[in-house]
Amino acid sequence: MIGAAPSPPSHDVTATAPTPMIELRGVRKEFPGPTGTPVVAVDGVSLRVAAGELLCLIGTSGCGKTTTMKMINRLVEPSDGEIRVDGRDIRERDPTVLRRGIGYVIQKGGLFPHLSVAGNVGLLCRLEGWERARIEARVAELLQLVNLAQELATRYPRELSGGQRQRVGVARALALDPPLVLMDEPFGALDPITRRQLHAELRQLQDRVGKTIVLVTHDLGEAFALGDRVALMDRGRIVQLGTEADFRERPATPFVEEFVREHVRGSGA
Amino acid sequence: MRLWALLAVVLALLGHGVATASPEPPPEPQGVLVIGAKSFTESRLLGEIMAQLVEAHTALRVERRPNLGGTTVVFSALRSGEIDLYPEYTGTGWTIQLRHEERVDSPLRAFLAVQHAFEERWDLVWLDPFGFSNGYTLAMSQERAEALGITRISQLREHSGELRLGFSHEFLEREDGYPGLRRAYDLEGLDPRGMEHGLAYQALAQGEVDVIDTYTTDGKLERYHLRLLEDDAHFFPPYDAAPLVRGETLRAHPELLPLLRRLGFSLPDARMRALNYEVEENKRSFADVAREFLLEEGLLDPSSPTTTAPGRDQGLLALLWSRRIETLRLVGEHLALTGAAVSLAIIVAVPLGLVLTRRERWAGPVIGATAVIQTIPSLALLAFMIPVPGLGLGTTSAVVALFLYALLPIVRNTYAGVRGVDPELVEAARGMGLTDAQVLRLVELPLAVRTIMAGVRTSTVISIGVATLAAFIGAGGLGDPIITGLQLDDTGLILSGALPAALLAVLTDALLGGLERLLVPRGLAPRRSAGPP
Repeated sequence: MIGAAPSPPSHDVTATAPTPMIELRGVRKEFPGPTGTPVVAVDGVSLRVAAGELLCLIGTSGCGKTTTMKMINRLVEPSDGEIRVDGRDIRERDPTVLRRGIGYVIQKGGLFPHLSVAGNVGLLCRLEGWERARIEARVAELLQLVNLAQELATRYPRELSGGQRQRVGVARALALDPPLVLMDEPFGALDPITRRQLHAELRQLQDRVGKTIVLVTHDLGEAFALGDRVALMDRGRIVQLGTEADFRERPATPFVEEFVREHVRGSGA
Repeated sequence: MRLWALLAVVLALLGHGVATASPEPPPEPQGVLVIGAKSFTESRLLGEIMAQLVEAHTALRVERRPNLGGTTVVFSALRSGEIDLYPEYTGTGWTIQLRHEERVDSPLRAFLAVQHAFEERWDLVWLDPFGFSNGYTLAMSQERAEALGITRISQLREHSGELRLGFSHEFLEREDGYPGLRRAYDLEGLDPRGMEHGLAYQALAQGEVDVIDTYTTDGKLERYHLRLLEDDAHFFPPYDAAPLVRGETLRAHPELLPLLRRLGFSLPDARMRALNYEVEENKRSFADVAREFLLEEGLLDPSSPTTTAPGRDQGLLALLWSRRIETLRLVGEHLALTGAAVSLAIIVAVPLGLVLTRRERWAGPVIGATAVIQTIPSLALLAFMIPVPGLGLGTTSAVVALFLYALLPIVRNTYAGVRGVDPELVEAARGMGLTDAQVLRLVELPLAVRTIMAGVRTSTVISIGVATLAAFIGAGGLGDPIITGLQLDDTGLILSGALPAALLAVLTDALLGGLERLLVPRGLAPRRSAGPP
């Protein structure tokens, strides 16, 4: 934990706090580089996410935030270090079983174009062998949860607006009621108005369902608006992990200070 | 589930294909004599003469396999026992089968040489020659030959700049054809082009070519006013025709030897040419002409039953109508051939294409190998199948060859279709917790089905086209009338095969287009009505 001065030392947390939902210890990821020397994408990241917390991973592109997130559901296998979800080492778990317990939302929703809204949302329920009536009820419940009209159930993704697709993506991720949801730039492709609306909805949703969420974004405003805490990454390391106030009042390094100032100027505030 | 629908259709097609494509079992092997012929008039006529003779004088049931392509096809068939006998020429035996490079000038020496060698090597017996020699010769139109003052082959060299040569493909390849001729007459400057022999006369008559290869007994020589060029260097070897029979067959049916000997020396050059002319120019059937010959020779009882062929001198529509039952039967054969081949190709190529998307390293070599198969000329591929144990002449070989041709488009499109699926969707599916098999079945295949179907459609249309050549190895289908029509220069007959084949290709493609619309998931189909419901 480089420059994460405001966070308490980790041994204190282990001693007192309940088991975190997610725990990364010294996680490192190298990819084979084009020249033969390995490229380090994630360089010794350690962090904890408490149950019910919404953590935003933020940074410029190539900083390792997406790779870090994909290691949590084993889409990417770490080169070194340890990852625990709900107290259990994920290497000991079957990837499919692990992933069904972790919701996954990607940019533009990642909907399957050949399946209807109901087909997308209910896909995992179907694979889990649920009965038809139960799947239908669950789909209806989820559509309501993400503020989508029930008539949309029979539509296909290409017949939806960007905001509607993203809501379907969220509903699909919640289908099996996982305690943990990973979101990879979920609002990146939307216009500012829709994005702000979805931010509000996500916060309301979070109040109701109380999931643990890790959300990757490159927009600091979004991170501040949504995250209980924000982890800023740069060149594979976490530069600062804290609340909005920590970032504004106690930037850990000149890089953080610059990053925050750029954002404030960029957003016109 | 659409995938199951696809599978059901494939299995149904396959079941149908196998059921109808399997050769009918011979009733009693002892009582059947299979007589083959190369696919040109004279060979078929000789085959028919022998067939009627055997039918009239023995208890054997004769099965005719005319249209067996060139020498390679028919000789493979004889050696493997697919056929019992066919008419062959001594010059062909000398140069093609025995691979002699030196020339033989005496007809008798050539006959004795092939007779001894064939018996020793392959247990194949040359019976008494029919009495004519049908050697290669070169022909020009009278007017053109006169204008240039050409009467001998040796003169061709002097006109190398102004002569266009159109030679049959076999002639261009054979050592006793153009390659040897070029050396013997030093014809380096001439650049012959290959063409189907059946079309050469027309090309000559229309002035598209100046010199063609032909046979000394060719019936067409009587119609077109042609000048045969003198072989002044005595290059062309003797081509005496004789029945070539399996030794096994003669031992099993000893009555055949004296019977077929009665044809010995019954057909001098002019007689043979006249019979060929009857078929090719007077449009009479092989059966009629053969029967008439046997009657004249006193080899047939005039009261013996006759098979009457429909008259051939009629308009195209009348011809098509009179052949409608036959055409339907051929369409059935054609569909069975292509249906079986394409179904097998789907069953092999789709999984193969899928495996390749998982084993990228193999993709290049495997797709390359199927592409190499595609480059083999169709007829050659068909011929390769004949000596393969278990294949032989007929339907099985044709299905295997068509199957090999059908592989490439399906493998390539399956591979490309699955690889073309948006990788983000695949990752989303995996991230959600789908197993690899579920990702394939629920995401990749449905999204690739349109591309895969395009491959299937390409393969089917190609197969319907190539299957017309299957007639050359005795597999029947719409190629039968096309090949016969080419030999007889009978446009109507050619069209009676070609038109249904083309129609079949168009209809099948449309049908598969409909199937594709059923299989492509609704979310991917282009919208038919504007605006949301």
